[in-house]
Amino acid sequence: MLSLKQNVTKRLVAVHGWSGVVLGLLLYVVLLTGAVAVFDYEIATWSTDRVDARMALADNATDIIETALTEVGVSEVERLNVSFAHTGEAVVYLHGLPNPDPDESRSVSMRVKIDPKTGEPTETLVGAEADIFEHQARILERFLVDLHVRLHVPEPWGLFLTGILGLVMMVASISGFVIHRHLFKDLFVPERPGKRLVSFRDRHALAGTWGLPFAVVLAFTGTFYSFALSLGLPVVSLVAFGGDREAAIEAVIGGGAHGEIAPAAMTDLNALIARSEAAAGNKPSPGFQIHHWGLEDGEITVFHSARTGGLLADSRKYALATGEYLGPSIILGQQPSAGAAAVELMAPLHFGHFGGFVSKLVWVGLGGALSFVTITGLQLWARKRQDEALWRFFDRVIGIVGYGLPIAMVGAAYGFFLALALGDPEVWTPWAFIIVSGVCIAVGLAVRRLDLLSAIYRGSLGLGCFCLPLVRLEVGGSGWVEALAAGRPMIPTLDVFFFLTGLGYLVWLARETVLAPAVRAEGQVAEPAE
Amino acid sequence: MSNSDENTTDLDQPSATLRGRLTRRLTGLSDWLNRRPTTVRWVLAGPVVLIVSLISMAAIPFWFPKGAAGVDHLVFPVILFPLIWSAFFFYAVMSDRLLTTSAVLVGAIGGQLALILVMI
Repeated sequence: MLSLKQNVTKRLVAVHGWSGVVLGLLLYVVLLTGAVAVFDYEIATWSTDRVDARMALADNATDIIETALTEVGVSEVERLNVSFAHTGEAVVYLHGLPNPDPDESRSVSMRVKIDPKTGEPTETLVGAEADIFEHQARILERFLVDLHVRLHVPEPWGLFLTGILGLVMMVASISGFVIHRHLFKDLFVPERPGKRLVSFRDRHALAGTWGLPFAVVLAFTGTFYSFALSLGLPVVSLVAFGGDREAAIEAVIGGGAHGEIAPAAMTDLNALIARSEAAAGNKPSPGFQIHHWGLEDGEITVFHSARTGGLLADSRKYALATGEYLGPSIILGQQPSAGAAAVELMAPLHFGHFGGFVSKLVWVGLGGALSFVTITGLQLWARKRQDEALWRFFDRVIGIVGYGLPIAMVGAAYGFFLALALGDPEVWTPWAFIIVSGVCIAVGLAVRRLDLLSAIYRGSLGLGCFCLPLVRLEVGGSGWVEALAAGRPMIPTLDVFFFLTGLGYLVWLARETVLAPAVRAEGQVAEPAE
Repeated sequence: MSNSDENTTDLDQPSATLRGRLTRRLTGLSDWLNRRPTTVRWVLAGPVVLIVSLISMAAIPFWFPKGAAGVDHLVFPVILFPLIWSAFFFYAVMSDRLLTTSAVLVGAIGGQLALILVMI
């Protein structure tokens, strides 16, 4: 595409190849889990699947707050969040509460769950802020997201690792673009048959060309998310705030007022939320955040998703004492700025949630395509070097990881569903992933013939996907009619997706193992020349 | 002998000598770098580019406009880090002149480090 000197092209080809070979398999793990994690909310809905109706905030916000405050026994709160569990309960998080232990000066947080039908508190939990977040109901979703975000490596090393993978992806995609000789032609290149070296190159070129711009966007935003808090904030706070991380956060996010603030009566919360929902295009709010409840400088941010055709969230801020609209919610600083807009733009570009289900679907498709690009690139590299035993083994490892990861993810889902009925999903979801991964590795090392190994993997993945909805139903998940009646179309949609994916793999397996040899035996397909 | 050498006066002699010595040193350094291009390029594109990017991220808050909310100079260095790293990385990989590339990267480290030390 670009006219480069031969030696520069040679160096870029080496950079493109080696960047993939060294960290390509980890990059594949991050990309595939990232593609799946785009549907994190949908997976949480599908896997926890209770269909209890949740309360409408515009009718119940005041009651929810009063119930929580009565339960905790305070009238003023520094910070308070209200959201909904997937089980339909309203969940109130209260932060900055006085510590019940008189010898302990640090404030505590509390979580109060409120039953949507009775309006009564069902559970109260006290602890440090990081310890009280709702985890139990979202184990499968959280496991997959953690695998994508930090590969389950402890912080900050996991974030450093995924940040480096983001840079590797940036290098691979930019070098791929620069060394590409037929950018437009490769958009429509068909794969040459025969599973030859050129077939792998065609696959890699086709998927890579379509995914190029998306790869750069994902690499850039992903690197930002990995490095922003683990590396960027410490570096900036070191030079600009003498290492005072709290001061840096306060300067960027904005701190609350200090000193004595007078108590004040709060405005009618139900009316305020109804007003916010009307102004945001009559969309029901999924939750809100309050600073300084019960005090005269109290503020509420009512969350709203992006308007139709919009890219950024449409959340709105109000004064709690007067109900006055203070303006759009700003992610950083106290007024709109280019920096805040740039940071806000990272989320829709990385998560693809700006256009609802359709844009998420596109992101999943392109994320899957990039996973495919990574695997085919690695295969291309290894197949070119089949004379050496090391690369032949690497080729086998590519197959093990390439198939093993999706099989292990499906295995984690089985572990989750079975543990829902029999044990503790918090324990068994990661264990199922580890056990299935171990089995995949053992089979991958034991089976000598690569074609047989691929057939075993495809069959396992197909069968695993096909049966997963049945297991979900068997352990008490709601049926399709029930889910549709409760306004949760995602449950049957994901069930159908798993059925079809499973079926697709099984049909592919049947064609490769039963039909193709029969056809070849009749001499109807000539082996293409190398 | 060239015309320029013939026209050199006594007053020009020290600077000419200095220039000659500098040229010899740089030529020697360039030869040394070019004798081991792969190693030099690995070092430049690896650790040196990483240091340049980190120091750039640390130096930007001192000159970048603060913006309406007073956060731009803190936020943009973090956002731009992957792009800064990529730009320097590809410069180090694609440039044919190792001496110039080394000078640019070392200069970027030195200049920005000096700015940080002065401003801190």
